[in-house]
Amino acid sequence: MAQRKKYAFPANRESLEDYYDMTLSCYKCGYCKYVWPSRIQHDKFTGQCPSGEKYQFESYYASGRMEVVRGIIEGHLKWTDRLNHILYTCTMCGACDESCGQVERVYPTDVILEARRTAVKEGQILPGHQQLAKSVSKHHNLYESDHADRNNWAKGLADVKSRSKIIYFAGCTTESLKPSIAKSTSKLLKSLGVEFGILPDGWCCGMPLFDTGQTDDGVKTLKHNIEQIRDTGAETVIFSDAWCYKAFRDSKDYGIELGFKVLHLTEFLAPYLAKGKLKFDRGTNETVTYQDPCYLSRYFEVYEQPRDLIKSVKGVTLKEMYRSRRESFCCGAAGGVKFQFPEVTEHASSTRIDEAKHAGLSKIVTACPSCQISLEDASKDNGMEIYDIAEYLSEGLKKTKK
Amino acid sequence: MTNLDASLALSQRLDIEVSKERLSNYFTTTVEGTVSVSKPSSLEELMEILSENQRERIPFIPYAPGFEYIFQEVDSEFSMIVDVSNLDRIVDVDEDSRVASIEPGVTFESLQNAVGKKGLRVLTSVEVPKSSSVLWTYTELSPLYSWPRYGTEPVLTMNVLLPNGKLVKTGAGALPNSGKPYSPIGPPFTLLGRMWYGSQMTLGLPVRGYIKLKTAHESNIVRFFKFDDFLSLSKFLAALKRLRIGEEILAVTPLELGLILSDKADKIKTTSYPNWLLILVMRGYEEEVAYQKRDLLQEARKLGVKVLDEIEGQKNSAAKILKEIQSPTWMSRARTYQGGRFSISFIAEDKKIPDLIQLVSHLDNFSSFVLPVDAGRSHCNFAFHSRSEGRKQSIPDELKKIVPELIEHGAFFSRPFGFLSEMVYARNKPYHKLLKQFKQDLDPNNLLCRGRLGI
Amino acid sequence: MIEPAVLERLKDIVGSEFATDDPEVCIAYSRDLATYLKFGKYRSPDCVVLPSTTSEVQNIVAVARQFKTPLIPLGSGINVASAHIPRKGGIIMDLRRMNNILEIDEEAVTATLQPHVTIARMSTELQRKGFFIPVPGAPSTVTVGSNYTHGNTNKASLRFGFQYSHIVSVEMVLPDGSLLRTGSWADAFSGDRSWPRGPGPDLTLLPRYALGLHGIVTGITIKAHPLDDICLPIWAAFEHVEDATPAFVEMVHREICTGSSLYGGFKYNSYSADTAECAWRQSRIHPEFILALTIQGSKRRVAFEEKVVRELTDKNNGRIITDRLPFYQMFVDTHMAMSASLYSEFAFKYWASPGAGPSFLGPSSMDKIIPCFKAMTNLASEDEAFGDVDWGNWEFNRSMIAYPDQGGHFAIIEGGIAAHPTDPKAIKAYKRYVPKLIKALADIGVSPDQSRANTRPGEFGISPEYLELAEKFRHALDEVGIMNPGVISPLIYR
Repeated sequence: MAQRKKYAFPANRESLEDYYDMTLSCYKCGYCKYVWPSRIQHDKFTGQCPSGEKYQFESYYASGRMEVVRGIIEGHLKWTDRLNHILYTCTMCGACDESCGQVERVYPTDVILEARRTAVKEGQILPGHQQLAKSVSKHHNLYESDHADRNNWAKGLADVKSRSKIIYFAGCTTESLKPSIAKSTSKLLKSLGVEFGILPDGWCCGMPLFDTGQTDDGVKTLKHNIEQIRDTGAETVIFSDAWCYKAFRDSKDYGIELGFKVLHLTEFLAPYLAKGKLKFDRGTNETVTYQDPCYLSRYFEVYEQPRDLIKSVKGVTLKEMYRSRRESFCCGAAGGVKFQFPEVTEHASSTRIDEAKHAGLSKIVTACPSCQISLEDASKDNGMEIYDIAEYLSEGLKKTKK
Repeated sequence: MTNLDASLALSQRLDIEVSKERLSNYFTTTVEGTVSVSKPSSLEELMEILSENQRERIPFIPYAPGFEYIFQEVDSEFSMIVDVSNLDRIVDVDEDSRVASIEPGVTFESLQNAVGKKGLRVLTSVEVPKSSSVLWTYTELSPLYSWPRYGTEPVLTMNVLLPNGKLVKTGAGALPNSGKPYSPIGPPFTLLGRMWYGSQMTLGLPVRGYIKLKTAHESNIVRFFKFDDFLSLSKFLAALKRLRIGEEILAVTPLELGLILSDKADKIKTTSYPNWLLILVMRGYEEEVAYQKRDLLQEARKLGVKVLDEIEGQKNSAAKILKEIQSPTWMSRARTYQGGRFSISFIAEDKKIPDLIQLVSHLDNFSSFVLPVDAGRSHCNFAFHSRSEGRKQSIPDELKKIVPELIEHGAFFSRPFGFLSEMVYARNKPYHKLLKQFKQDLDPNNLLCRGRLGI
Repeated sequence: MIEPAVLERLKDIVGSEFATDDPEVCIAYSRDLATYLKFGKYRSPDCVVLPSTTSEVQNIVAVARQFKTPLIPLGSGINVASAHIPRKGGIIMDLRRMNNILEIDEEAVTATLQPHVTIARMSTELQRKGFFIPVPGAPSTVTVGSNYTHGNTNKASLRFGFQYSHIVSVEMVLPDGSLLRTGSWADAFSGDRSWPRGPGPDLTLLPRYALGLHGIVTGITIKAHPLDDICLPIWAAFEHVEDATPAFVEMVHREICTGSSLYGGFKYNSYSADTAECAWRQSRIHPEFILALTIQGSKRRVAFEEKVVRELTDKNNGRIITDRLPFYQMFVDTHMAMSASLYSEFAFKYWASPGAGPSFLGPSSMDKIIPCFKAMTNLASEDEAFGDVDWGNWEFNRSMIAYPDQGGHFAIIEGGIAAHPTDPKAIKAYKRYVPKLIKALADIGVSPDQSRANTRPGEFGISPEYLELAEKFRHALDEVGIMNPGVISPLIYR
């Protein structure tokens, strides 16, 4: 049996064995499974763990995963398909951390992530995740898109610059699957007269590699991007994608000092809004809701800026879903889940769409391409409209009276 | 040797007095007969009698003071009455915890005399005379006849003598070192502390009870409210419930009110009484009762209900009510009114009570009292008064016809006896089956209260 | 190992995705914190099944009976008893999918629900309709089914009684697979679920403290209460237990307050502290004893009761401190709503102590409260784990609470030490201190009822007559012995 260690700070832990006391510290209070009790808005929408909600067995909740990890550490469990399934169906949305941080302070996603790293060290890479690493290595993006096409979206909107104080890092998901977000972002920045550049050779940020335990590959691609940015002399980097944002914000965990400021688009726009330099009018009165991207909100507490921006659009009312802010329910895309277990993503995003419908809403704005894509996929037959915040705002920009 | 002879023979063997008496001296019965009666004077004697009854296979039935009121009719499927009237020790009165430890022969009157000096008061049961056993009244009639304000478990824990003569202590009593076993949540299987309630003595005899006492209050105020129909009364009750006003609350029909207030059964006047009268008693320190009066007045005004200090045309009605709560006498008048009283009691949702009354109000001299046991539901007591020779048989027969209708219309007979148990358990077969299983385990020879509850 | 035929049958009943014998799934059901002291090692079931309907539960019971396979029902799994940890392998029946609120009856002020509705969900729905249920002494993630059948405390117990007194009726699948309903729900035809007793001998508490031995609760009707106009938490502080207790007892005798507990030692700090160090610092400056009271009712009632509380506090050398507490609002919120914050910051983890749950929990008459608190303090001062009483080691802090049940005829005493549950030093201290505490309190005449918690074999006994009767009934219900076998060890009941 592993040596029990008492209360080491998570960052000081080096191997899975170092997390043993955290697995033991969990004694099944159950807060990780549900919306924080005093903030429950509707009794039908109280779950907060996407994988637990889908599979229902205790092992698929954070508290059960602690036992699974304990089993690995103690040598009771061998690597099997089921074990991998349990470890890799977690979307790393951090909802459990949020609750547990207020109760037992086990921080389950730290433990799960370390278990994934251990799995990778022991040769347990799932096909979908192996493919990610291959694609990032070969094409420098997650989607096997031609690397040469990465900046196609930028024609007439943004330029590659060798030197720029502000860099916009669109990210490979935006570039490959949702270029409209990048276009909208550029329009917004330009409307403010912001001088910005894009990278000549931007690669995938590496976040899905980190999430799937492939840390070395992740660090490699992240470092490449950081070096590119440093070469431009940038002081601020703007992100559309919450995954990329998290990869850069977490760089200290991998021993990397950035030397520049990292901002999500909504954080960047917030001061302009406060100073009255941004006005939006989409020419319609409507009610929308906001889906918090977990990697932006729960991890880095960017809750209010996107909401303030949406509320500033003339005629728009922002109505929250039953689960919002810290209690927001994940769209199911993150943690590398959608690349290996898309059914989890589908279940989570469908649940979220049901919630929006139940609350009488028909338009969802989010601030991450992955959230947008998974919610769109769940909305094909039900008429729910999904927007990225950059798109939503830039459409309002058109009608702004100067 | 018959069972009766065998039971009489116990007298010599055990050195315990066993006499031969008429059944009707103890219980109301339509079947007259002779039984042996043993009167143990200690727990040890009682245990001996039970063991001996088991050995000789003598069917027996327990009797405690007041059981003639509690079991209105008994059949005679037994040979011996075990009368516990002499087990009448008040073992302890704990003023800090406000708990009395008593034997089943202790009556309301004797216990009140003992605790009254200490500034405490015994929780009485509705209409049960002061000469009745406190412990067995509680276990048989709670929570139905308890004043709802006092909760559903007036007995905290008890010692139960099983039919085989073994003694089981419930709740904290089952734990070691429990000199004061007041907590019902002692060891696992809380069922073992609860199942004796309403068991009609079929499973075991509570021989010691640790019962709740209350503080005697300095201010005791009665108020009356008149209603034309039960539904308006029920609406008012809901408001009172939320405000938690009223230690004792009772709704009565004119005849029942007459029975409560009159001195003699043949002097009842009901003409001036309202269709329904709600009686409410507030108790506490003066300041406490004063704010309750203000809350009450405010609520009554809101609902357009008039608050009365006395019943119109009835002097001292408030004082009389307080007396009837502390020491009920109205049952004795009711039992002689028009020759006799049949009554049935059940639980029903308030909104269904008017319909239920419709079904029975044509019967002879119908009267009723209704006890609001919990939100939206009440304990209803429906009574009929007549003992003319012709009606002696026909009223029960009519009831047998009406009860299924009452059940269909929402009456739940939680304390079924006689013909009711057959009707009730026909609709509750799994419950009855389990009861039979438990009875079989506790009393394999089926000697204790044989035939009761069909188990 | 589960027989393949059993697993196949279970899959047929619930669908193949909801039954499995994969060890990676089973291991999640192998531990709660009490397992530290109970077993020393953890025990997995052989398979797990997740039914969604009562008839599925009945069919699963039938399979378990046919194959004589142990069957362990699991509600919330949040307990201090290791109640659901399989002693002899078998099937864990996790009731998680049975999570619907079936009905809220606004006239009878009752709610009927499946077993896996959490307290938090139930509270939310009831409050929306103007009712409340007392906040339990457990995380509000605990399910109603589990908490009402196995929990005790709540924050309104002085007025309403402990949790089990809120059970109106239950629907259970008995170990023979048959369905039992109690109270007015027993009537097969009426559908009325509003009356909690009978018919006849009252079996409503059949599942209460039965640890699954008597069957599986598949439905439960509980009592709620109309929301009061005002909820006012009020705390009185005392330096001596001889002052605090008479004030406490007199308030109980006056039948004021909805909830009432007397805290001594460490615990009351822990509610507001978010680290162990913080709790220790607070304990240095906070008064030694606190009477935590809640007053609920109409404006006039609250005004009256507050006046009495202030008078009695003053009379007994105490002072009201609530007005100055920075975290006061938390108590206002949580008394009526959720226990989450109360059990969030620090208390849950630390008070749990190694082994989970208070180290001692026992019923006491009102006159034993002072001796209990004194015994705790004396014992702590003699125990090296605590060091100096005034300058105690924050890692192992002694504490005790007394809270009365409905009407205050007795109180439950909780006592123990508070320490980090995985700290080996704490476990060592715990194992030395708790038996001493139990003995000291037993000498006073207060016995633990923690058969279901972390009491180990030999620590206390239950009368043989009681056990014999319990065993008779258990056998009558489950002659095959499939239900949670071994959960109650005969060793415990010497």
